[in-house]
Amino acid sequence: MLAAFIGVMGKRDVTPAAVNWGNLSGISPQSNANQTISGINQPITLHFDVTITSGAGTLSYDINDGSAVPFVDNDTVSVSNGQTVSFRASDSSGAFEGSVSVKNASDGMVELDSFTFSVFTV
Amino acid sequence: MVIGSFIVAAAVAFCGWNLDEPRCSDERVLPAALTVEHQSTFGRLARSIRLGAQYSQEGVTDTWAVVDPSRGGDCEDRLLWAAQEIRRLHPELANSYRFVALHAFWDRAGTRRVRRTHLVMVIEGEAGRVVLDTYYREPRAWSDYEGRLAFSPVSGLASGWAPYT
Repeated sequence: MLAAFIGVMGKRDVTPAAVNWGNLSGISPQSNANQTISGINQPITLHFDVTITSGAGTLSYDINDGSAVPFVDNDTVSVSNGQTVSFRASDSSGAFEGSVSVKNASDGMVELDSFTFSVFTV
Repeated sequence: MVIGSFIVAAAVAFCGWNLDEPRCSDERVLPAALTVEHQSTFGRLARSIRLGAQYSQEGVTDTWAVVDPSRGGDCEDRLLWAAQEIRRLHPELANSYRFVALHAFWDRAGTRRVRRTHLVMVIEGEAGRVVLDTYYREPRAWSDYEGRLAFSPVSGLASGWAPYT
């Protein structure tokens, strides 16, 4: 019965196609280009590992060109097939620098992509 | 010409912030024969753009506006004004300067280290470079900046900061 159900519903696919977010660097603030989450048949949870090497500031993500949502280390967000995701960094104290690893918490915390950020005010 | 390439890269990075500034859109840096008259202008501009405070206001987005230094502005605003003056007084230098974001020093905020940055203008002379820096009342020699890190989005480094070597 279960096998029949799975057969009808199709195989659970939580491994999206490759994404490649650009690094954020330059005069604050900086944003990267949208990447589309595709190739999945149910929502997945993105997990953010943030490493800060200089200063302070705000990192945020933007789903489907909506409003920017600030995030910090170990925050998560759910995304569905076809949605776009971009990131933005702005400084608040000195140059705000570090990296973000975007992991798929729905798929064993596999890293989908990582990007660096280095934004500053002169 | 490694240094020159960093200068160009730094200038290009600021394009989105001031499209009216031609040195943000033209990648070529043409060395100029700097005359006594040019040097006199640089001296006057350096005295005019000198800033009392050394840092921009934290957490406030740079606006990159041409601001007469008698009316305020921080380093990028004053340097944009200086660039405008240079183009007005010496149009032959219009392709001979660039804006360069420098690493100033490492600071501390609690347990975290903080990179402090600063913008200068580098004028490319055939006999050497001249730097206009809002920290100083006089034009500076390039040798004072040699080895400093500068922001370069095409440096290939993740941080974007690369040494001037």
